[in-house]
Amino acid sequence: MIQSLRFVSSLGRWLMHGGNFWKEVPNGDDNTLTLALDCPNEKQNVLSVAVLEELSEILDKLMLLYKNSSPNTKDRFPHDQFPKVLVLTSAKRGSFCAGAKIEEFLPLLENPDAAGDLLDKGHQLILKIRNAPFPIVAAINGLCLGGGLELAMACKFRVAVGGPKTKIGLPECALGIIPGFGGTQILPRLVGLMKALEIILKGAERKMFSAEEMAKFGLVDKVVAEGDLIKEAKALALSGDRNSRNVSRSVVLQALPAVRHFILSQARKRMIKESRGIYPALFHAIESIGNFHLPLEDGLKREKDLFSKCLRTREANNLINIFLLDKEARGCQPDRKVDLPKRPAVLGAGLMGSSIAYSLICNGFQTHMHDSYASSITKALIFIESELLRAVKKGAMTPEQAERTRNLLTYSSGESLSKFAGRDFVIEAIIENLDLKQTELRRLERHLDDDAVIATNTSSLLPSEIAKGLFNPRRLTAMHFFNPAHIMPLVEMVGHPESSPEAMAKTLEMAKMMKKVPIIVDRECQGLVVNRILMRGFGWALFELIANKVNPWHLDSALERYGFKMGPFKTMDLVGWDTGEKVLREMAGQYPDNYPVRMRDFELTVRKDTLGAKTGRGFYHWQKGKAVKANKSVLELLRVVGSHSDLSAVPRVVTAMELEAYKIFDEGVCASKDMIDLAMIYGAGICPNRRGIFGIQKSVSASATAHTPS
Amino acid sequence: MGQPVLVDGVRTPFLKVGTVQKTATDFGVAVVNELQRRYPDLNRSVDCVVGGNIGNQVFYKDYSRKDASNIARVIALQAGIPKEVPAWTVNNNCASGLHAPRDVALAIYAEEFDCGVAVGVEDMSDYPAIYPREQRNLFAEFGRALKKKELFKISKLYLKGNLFMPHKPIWALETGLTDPIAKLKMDQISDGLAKEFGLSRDHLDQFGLESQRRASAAQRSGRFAKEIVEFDGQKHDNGVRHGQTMAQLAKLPPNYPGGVTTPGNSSQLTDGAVALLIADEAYARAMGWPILARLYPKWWAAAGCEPERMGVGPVAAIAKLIKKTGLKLSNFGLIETNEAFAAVVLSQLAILTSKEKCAELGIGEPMGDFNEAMDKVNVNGGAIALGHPLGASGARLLLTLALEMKLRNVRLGLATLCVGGGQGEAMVIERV
Repeated sequence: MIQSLRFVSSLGRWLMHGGNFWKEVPNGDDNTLTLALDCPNEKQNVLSVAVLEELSEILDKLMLLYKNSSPNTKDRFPHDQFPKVLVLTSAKRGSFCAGAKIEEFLPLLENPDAAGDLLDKGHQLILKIRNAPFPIVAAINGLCLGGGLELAMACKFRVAVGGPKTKIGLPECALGIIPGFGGTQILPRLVGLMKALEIILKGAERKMFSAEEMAKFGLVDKVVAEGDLIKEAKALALSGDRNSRNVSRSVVLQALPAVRHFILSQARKRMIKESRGIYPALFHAIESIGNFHLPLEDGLKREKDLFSKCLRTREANNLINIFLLDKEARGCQPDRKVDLPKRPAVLGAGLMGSSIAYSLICNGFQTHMHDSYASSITKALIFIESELLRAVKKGAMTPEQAERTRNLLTYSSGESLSKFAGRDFVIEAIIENLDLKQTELRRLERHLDDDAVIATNTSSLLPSEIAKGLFNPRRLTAMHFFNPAHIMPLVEMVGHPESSPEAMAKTLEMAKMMKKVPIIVDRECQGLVVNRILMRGFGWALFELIANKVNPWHLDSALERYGFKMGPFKTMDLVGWDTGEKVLREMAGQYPDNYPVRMRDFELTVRKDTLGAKTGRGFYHWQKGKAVKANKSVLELLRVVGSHSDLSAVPRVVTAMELEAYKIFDEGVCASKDMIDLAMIYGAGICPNRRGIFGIQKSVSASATAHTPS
Repeated sequence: MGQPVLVDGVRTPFLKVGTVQKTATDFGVAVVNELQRRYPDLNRSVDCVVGGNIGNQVFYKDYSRKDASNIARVIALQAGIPKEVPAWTVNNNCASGLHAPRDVALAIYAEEFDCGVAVGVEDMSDYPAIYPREQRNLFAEFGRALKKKELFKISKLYLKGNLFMPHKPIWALETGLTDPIAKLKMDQISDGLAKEFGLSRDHLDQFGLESQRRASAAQRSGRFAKEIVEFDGQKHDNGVRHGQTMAQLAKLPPNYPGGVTTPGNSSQLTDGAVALLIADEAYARAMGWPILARLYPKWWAAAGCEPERMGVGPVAAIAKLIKKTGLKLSNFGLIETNEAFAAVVLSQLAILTSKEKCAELGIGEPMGDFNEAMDKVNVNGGAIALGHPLGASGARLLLTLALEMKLRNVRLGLATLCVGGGQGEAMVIERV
């Protein structure tokens, strides 16, 4: 026994010799080998080519050893002292592997043919893992996405830690590509065609699944507690209890040709309906998954071809570019070091205030929330508590976590603002009224320390105007969240000429700590970036309806086919006609040249029961937050007679928005075209497939735009 | 003059009605026994037992039930306190539990006694149903007719009582919570106060939620375990709702149509008992007992107000106390006020935080604003979460207050209760 122990430990040292990424985890006295991935200098484990090559080398060495060992127990390397089980896990807590290294895709985008060789190597590794003479187990602790999951799927067994930390998914489609590391082939073999389609296609919305859900699908063999992960992984490999009894039957059934074709055609139809058919990767993914009945080698070959095909598309270029822009925006550093805000507070507990407060407590801030009206506080509490309950139900939080999060919130109502004493960062979200904001903020200032920052959540009022009412205008900045603030990742932030650099730096730090994508607007203006561009588009879309009698539903769907996540009329319904009209009027008053003249005396809010989604009726009939069908009576209501479909309206609306975007760039409101694009994509869902309004600039990736869409 | 001090106190967990099938005496005996266990000399030292109780003072023919009109005496004898030690019970409705320790303190101050036990006890599940005079007359008539075998009369009586012997009892619980002068139920009084002070349902529910959350935190942190002795297998106050949400409270229908008082922002019906050991300071030191707080008989006041505004009784009592003693509102580092209803506490705070109203009452500076006041008031939640066993509540406030003052190192603390019938009692204690 002692001899074998020594053998295994020296084996590990020999295997790992010269490696950077895979480390051996010391074992008990059993004949197993545990390798933990630990990418140096990275927060999360990512699969780079080097990581995979190292793993491949280790496996080669093991295989060589296995071949040379003899069944004779008296020999130097007897079989029974050879590691019986290989466990792959991560040395980073909460991150098994977050997927492939996106930066390594960039040269591939310019030269898609090189992808073939790379994928070949990857596929060989997968086959190596699958054909290993000893079981290989993936012990998943934390995030397991994309390439990480594909690596895990190649293993014989998967064991995952239960609870909210473990998130499993294949979000490749969100980048305009398909899982290319065997994902589309092995996943349907494990969970069946339908579930595989669900997991991969939902990946386009970055949907992730918990370990428990995946265990139900049959992907994860066992869900265990964090402490027992390695132990359970070994036990499972030795006992060989697979979690696939129910699944295997459906896998076989779904592989029957007729069933397969039916499921695939249904998936295609659904994708055309949901994504408007403008993301080719989804259809390539469906095609690739459909090859799962072929022998694995053939399937992988076809997957490789489809992957290269995806890389050639403009959409993949654009979506990968957005991913990098997102990283750039999130990594934005302030120009000076400041004390990080620790005790934020929210003034105003309306729709925005409460979701901002929720977002704050979810990021671990002890937050105070205040509103003049007790009824707003009640509504805010109901909102926050129900969101927490939903998070628990979804498995994103444990009940204890939810309770702890709820305990971070304190609240007060009424006249007195004394509870703001000692707060270092106040986000103000009261109604958009200059006088009210000024008086409330002045009252608030009495209770604040000198270096406390006030960030006003406004887009229609100028921070410099609000600052006029303050004792210390230097502390005021603007932080414009989007509704609902706990879901929308975007925050536009802007200072006024007098804002102190410290206040700006603190605001940026706060946005980053709230895990938002901060878009720094360089010069204040009414509407900031997103609302200015969006509202101009809306103004002209409405003009098309009123003046040109363009059918609004056709225009919506045409714009959605162009790349809008949601057409302007549908968005108007969601915003609410009354609010939308108010903002539109304000913007039209501010920038009269940019809006059609007819908009000035056009009444949108005619009837109280037709105010968009909140009343269940607008341009669409709404049920449970979803637009069900067109509400034809709107035309009568707005006195539009005889609407017709006119596709030439699409470029007119888009051009209006483009002009506004260029104007914003030209006026120096936002100096970076990339950031304007990112703001429009995250804030309004405008054309992720075209990478926003400007598209990829030549300087970012000179030849990436040269490829024609396939 | 003697100097009464609070040596120690203990309570049973406060249990929602129907949790345990025990009588008020059982509750009382349990806490007195715990004091005897902690202080083995108690039986020799104790000079009096004063009970606070309202609704369990009835004669049971079944002696196994053991409740009687002077429940303190029954508890004392049951608990094994020598028969020579006198015991009496006080009744000032909800403030009985505060009045009992005050009685003991007063006797010690007068150097009448050295040591006494105050027992606040209430078993609201054991409240009787009472037959009114008319019903009793009917019973008597029926009995006479049976005796004389007057069949005609018997049948007539049967018809009168709908063929069966008529039972139309008065439920003591219901009458006990109705003001006979104002002819209003207590929750109607709460509604009235809410209206008078402009309190919306949101204010009340937020207060109710806060009380539950504070109590939940205190229970989970083990804070209450310091004052509780296990009783009949129960270790924790079971009225505390962990994870109470605003949505749950907002859903409840009001007790009276158009009102704002709901079960979620009112105190619960609860059983419980509290025993406090009070002694002369010199005596306690000689016995080597710990000292929690000093009680000054003068630092106590009771006052009256309109019966239909009984919730603001404490304000009258506090005003009287402040005028009498020269203390200021700002002196009190902690305040325990009985949360009979959220509206009651909120209207008290509305007065005590308003400059004009405080000036009107002649009590000087107000308490600061509502939010600041909430940092001092009922820091461990109150009767909305824990329940309000009428005669025991006052003693619990005193015990919770004394322990919290020790924890937070606060010098002066105020315990106050509103009293059904339009009164208030307030007592200030000093940490040693």
